[in-house]
Amino acid sequence: MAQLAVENFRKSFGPVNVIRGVSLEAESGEFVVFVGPSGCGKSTLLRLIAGLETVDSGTVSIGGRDVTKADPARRGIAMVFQTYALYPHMNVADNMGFGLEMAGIAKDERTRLVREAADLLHLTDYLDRKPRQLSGGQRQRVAIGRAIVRKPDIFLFDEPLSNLDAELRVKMRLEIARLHKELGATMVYVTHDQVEAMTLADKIVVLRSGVVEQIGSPMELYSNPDNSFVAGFIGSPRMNFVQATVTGQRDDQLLLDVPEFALSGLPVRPRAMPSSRPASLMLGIRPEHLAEGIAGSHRVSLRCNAVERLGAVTYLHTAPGEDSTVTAQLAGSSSARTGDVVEVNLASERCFLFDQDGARV
Amino acid sequence: MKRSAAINALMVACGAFFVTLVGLPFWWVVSGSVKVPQEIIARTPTMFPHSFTLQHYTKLFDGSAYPDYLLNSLIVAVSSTVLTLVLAIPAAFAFFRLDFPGRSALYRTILLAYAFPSIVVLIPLFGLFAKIGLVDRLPALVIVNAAFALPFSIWMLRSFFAGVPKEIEEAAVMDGASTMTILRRIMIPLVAPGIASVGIYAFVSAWTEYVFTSVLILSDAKRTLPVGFSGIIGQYQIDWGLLLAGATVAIVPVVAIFALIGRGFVSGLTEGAVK
Repeated sequence: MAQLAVENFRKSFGPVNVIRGVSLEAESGEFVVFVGPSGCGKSTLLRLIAGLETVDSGTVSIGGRDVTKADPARRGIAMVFQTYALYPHMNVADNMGFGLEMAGIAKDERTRLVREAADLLHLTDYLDRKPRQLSGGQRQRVAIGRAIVRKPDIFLFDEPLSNLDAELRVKMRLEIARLHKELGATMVYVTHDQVEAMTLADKIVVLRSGVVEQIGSPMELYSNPDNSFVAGFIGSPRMNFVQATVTGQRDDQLLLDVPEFALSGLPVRPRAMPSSRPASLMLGIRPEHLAEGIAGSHRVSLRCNAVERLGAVTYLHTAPGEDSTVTAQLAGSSSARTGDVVEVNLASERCFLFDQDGARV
Repeated sequence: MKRSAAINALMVACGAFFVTLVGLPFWWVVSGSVKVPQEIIARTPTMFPHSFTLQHYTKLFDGSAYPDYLLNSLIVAVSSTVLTLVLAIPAAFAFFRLDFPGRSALYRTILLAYAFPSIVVLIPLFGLFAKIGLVDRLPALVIVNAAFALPFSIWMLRSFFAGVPKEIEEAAVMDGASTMTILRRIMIPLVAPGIASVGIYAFVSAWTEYVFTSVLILSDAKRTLPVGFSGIIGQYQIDWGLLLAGATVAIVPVVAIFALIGRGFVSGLTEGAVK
């Protein structure tokens, strides 16, 4: 039985439909990440699960119990807010113990549970401090501690790392992954950062405009996206999309002309052979599959208009800042400079095809 | 940001002007209260006392009804402040948090209380209090003072409540706190500066209230400072020393309350809570 089951959620604020029929499930102990661009409704979805907003229609059940109408505190969930939302006038121990106090747990037991959580989060030395005396990372750990002490069935995280600097974000990300492993709890995590989604999730839910675009494991979404939105959102740098004309068919492959790459007769296997052959399609190829030093039967020449050197790899951009830009991955030691024409390999078996509406072909 | 010397000089001059404007009368009252009578009414006024005497204070406390007025004023002002806060805090929170029909209409309506000059409601109010037997009793003043301080206090506190980040309240909801617990344990500590401001406002307006007291209180023993003390100014002569000493003592509680409650005006109390 699913630990968390959301059935056909709908929610609108005035005339704006924020959530338009979302259903999903999370197994016990699973780490589920909601990901999508700003305004896609992922935070609203989390708040609906938490009970901080009421649904217009649909149901949510936790551990098989319908909690659609239950108070937030009675749903067996704990939430970590993006802004930490600590009680500024209480010290760390009181912040973490407040929920236990509200649940009527005796003081000794409370102290013990808070201590336990503080140990887990390396906060023991800070229990007497007020939130303003803590660093951003410590505050976030207190917010997580406040959730942990209540031993909830499900943890909800609303973009918990977005207020932290890059270095701390990586550190806290690993810490959350460690906590998930140690606690074995079901976690639902909202982020707009696909790297966080890829690294933390057992299951990713990609949302756009209040609709689920695809649900799957990180690698499923990466290697088998349902549409161009998911393909473009998962993976960094993002997938390249170029126009292609269909010229023929060979076995289970379509033959394409790709003017952008000056290729003709490029064989690409569609997910399923369309019944009628489309005249043109969108070809998707990730930068790591349009790269220097990979096996690939096709050579593509690209004009280098911007170079990004990350050390281990170098990225070439043909039209930086524009939607039509093509990004290719070069070796870290590449000597390519702006203005050069660079030859890279294209792995045709890693190409994806999408129709003009973005649906996978 | 770099400021030019001229701007700096102008700002210092402005500051000095206002300090003088506010401070000089205070200094005049306080320094005058310890001068001997001849010096107070001397043809050439003295900025700094050439004489020192406490005779006015002795007379004030031993030879006049001033101590009674002072006690009455303290009772009325403290009770009015407490009553105002006890009513304004839950009311402001209700206007801020609870959804009930007519909320915004009611919220605007309460300010109508200030649409009428107090003199207009004075007669009906007297009639009302006469009916319920509150004329010439201090509770009447407490009720009137609180009633007039409430609308502004509610408005002010509501905006303080609105300044508390929503997530803090939501975190408390997730922690299982009831609305009243949220108010008591989370919101009140966080809006303490607002409560302090409202408290000071209620105290000072009750402390200085004149019109209602002058009508609703009949017996001398129940007068508050402003009304009782005005009796010191006689028709033919004024005891300046006594007046200045009385004024000095009347300032003390207000200064004290600013010093005590003023500490509540700590900005950035929610610092560290969010972000």
